[in-house]
Amino acid sequence: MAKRIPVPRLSPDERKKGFAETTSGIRPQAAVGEANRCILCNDPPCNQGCPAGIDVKGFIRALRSQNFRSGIRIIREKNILGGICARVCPQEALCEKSCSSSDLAEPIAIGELQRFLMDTEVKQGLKALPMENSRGKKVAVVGAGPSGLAAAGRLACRGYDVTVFEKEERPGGLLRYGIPPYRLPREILDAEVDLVVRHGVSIQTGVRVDSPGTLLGNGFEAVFLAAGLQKDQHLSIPGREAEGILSWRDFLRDVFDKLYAGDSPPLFSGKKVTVIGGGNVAVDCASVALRLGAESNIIYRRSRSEMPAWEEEVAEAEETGVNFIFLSQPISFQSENGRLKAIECLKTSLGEPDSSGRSSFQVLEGSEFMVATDFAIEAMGPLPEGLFSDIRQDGKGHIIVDDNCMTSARGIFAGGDLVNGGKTVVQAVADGCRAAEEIDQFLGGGRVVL
Amino acid sequence: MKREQMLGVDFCGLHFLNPFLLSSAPPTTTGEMMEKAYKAGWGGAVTKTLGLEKEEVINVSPRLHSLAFDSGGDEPRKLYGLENIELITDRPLGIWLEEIAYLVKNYPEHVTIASIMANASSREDWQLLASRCEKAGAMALELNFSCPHGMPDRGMGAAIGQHPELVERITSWVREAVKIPILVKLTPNITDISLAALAAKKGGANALSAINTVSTLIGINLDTLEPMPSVHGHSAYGGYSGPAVKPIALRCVSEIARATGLPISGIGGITTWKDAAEFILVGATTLQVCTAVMVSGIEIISDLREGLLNYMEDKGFSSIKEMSGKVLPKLKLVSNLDKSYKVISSIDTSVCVKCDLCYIACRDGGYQAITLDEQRVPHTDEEKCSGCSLCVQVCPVWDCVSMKKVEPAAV
Repeated sequence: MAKRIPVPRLSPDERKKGFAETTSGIRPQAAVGEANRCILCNDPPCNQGCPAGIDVKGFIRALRSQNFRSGIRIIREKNILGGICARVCPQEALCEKSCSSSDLAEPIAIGELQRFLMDTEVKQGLKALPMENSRGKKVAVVGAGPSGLAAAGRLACRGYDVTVFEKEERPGGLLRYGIPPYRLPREILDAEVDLVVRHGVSIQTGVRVDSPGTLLGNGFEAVFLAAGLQKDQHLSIPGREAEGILSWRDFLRDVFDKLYAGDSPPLFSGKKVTVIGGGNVAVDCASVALRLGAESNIIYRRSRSEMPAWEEEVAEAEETGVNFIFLSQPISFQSENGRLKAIECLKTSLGEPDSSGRSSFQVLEGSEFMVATDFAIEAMGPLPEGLFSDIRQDGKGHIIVDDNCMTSARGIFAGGDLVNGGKTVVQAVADGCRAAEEIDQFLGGGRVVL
Repeated sequence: MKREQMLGVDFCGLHFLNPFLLSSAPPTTTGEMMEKAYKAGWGGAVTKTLGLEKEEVINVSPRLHSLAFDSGGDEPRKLYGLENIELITDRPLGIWLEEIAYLVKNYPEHVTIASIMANASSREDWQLLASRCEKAGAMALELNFSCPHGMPDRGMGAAIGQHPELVERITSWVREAVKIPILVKLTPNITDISLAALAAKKGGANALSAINTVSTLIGINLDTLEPMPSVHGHSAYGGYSGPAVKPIALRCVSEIARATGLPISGIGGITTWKDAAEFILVGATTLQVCTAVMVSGIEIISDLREGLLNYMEDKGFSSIKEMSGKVLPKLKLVSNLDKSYKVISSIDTSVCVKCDLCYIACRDGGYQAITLDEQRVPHTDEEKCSGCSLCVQVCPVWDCVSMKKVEPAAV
């Protein structure tokens, strides 16, 4: 058991065939064995590396003694979406990053252990967390993505009457409309959304909130804005009017909605799909298109090591056959009879790091080349919709909050992607939990922040 | 009732928030360490054993050595047992009495017990030490009749515990001197521990603590030809603790529980909540922990408490008292066990990894009842299997080999 436990994983060929979860969980013996590989070090780097503040060492210790229930509780009390995060967190960059076992062998498979405990709970039926007595106060949450759900769950546990307003038909936000089911099965998402609801949270879907201030006048004593990033960026290059240019959001939503409803998703057999972007969303779009029968390309203006997408995701996409076109910048869409037929690009070269720390790039004049394609998917990082105009925002529309997660409007708090510009799911969860504690303080809770 | 209150227990007139105490050992070297443990959620603590000022205590170094499973490679070491040759406290009694007074005053909900040791022949020493501790505020005394290496040459420790008449005599001396509850800590290094336990009861003990460490020689350094732990080339028999001694401790606790009916503070290799539950089921109502804390720190209390609570809930126990001793009536002599009951080996070939350890074990340590087919998959010959269960013990896979009940053949 000295080696890190291998995770059962579908072969690239099996993956290409559909949307079944890529990895399957590990068995109890393997989980306890991996937990026993942990050296239970002091002031553990795993605990420090978890944005949600999960006591990783604590749940590993419980798992070692097969005290699954306490292990589950330790995770849930800090992260009500523990099963989701176990699957979508980049553990290698968070809890596992500085694991002390790395110096002995390999880091403990913390994500797998968390997933094992969360899946064990799913089999037994998810249990509500301890609830404090009702405070008789109402709090509104705008957006049922990870940040909003986490905040709602924590506030409900603190005794607040919480209503979440979600503009879409179903809760989940980016978890539902942005993450493919092979990375996050919808039954896990549904189970954890249901767990939040079971704490007394009311989720009102199909309700758009443009003016949170009016909620404060309508019986809510605080509002948490977690509306995410709803505006997509487009390339401002010639030829955009061609048919066949899609936004990542519309493309993924259409596919996921159909899969969820049990309908057949659109097929792209024999078609070429080219995704423009270098983040996880771009990789997801290309991988989804591949599963729908397409020949999939990704065009990215820098090189592989500059990709914001996680290494694991990129490697998975490569394995399944996604073709990467690095160091290339689209300059026009080429069409025939109104239909897209190619993307014209220029080669680029990398220069000194820019202010973001990534290498800058320059296009190489005269290096034009064509990427023949039937569809283009624009998958650049999204921005806020620019609503909530009476609340202080940065130039791009991200809400600015103070140290207590409060916006420039008293009683209105904000967190998640809408504030941080789009980080990880677990960061959104952490923001939501933290804002919930601040809202509790604001409304007189007076507790120490967990 | 709050969930945590299920762990509360009354033990010889003292209420414990939970049954977990630090035992008299290195984790209670100072009052400050005990205070930290109380803050971390331990129900109480027993001081490192105190002696009178005239007993000079000088420790050697090193004084620990472990039995560990070292498989080499990148496998972390796993400690199964720990031997020590450490003596009783080497800190002045006066300071200790101040620390006891401080703990009792500031942590009245936590039980502070003074462990004491004096010369077997001196009634005066025992009574003086006991009453000074009582006066300082100690909530109970634990008489250390059991340390195997400290200091039998001076008529102390196990030199007392191995002689029931001394156990009774000294317990009664202390009984004359103090009103607070007396726990007698017994040694397993004796042929029949129940005789010592009965003697303690006769002498007036309110409760028993068992077991102290097991006398051992932990190992030899094969390079230097020195016994371990080597103190400048030489060593001494020491006291063995940790997971390896748990089965000995469970046997001792169950024996003295049945023999005396006294409340018992169970000690010996308690590492996880499971061990704790086992000690309670064989008659303990409080539990003392040392080695696991020395290895993993006082923070293990959360897993001990939570795990035990979960277990009690699962099994429908509403209190420690209700759970205590539940298994005792099920302990019998082998002659009195049901000889008509028969189980045989059953191998789940769907999870078998074909290592054939069961086959080797049965071939050379059993009844040759396991055979291999052409694919190296093991099968049980039900006629030959005598039901010993060696195959279950050696199988490396969980839930692969089990024993299944067979109905007695029709006559």
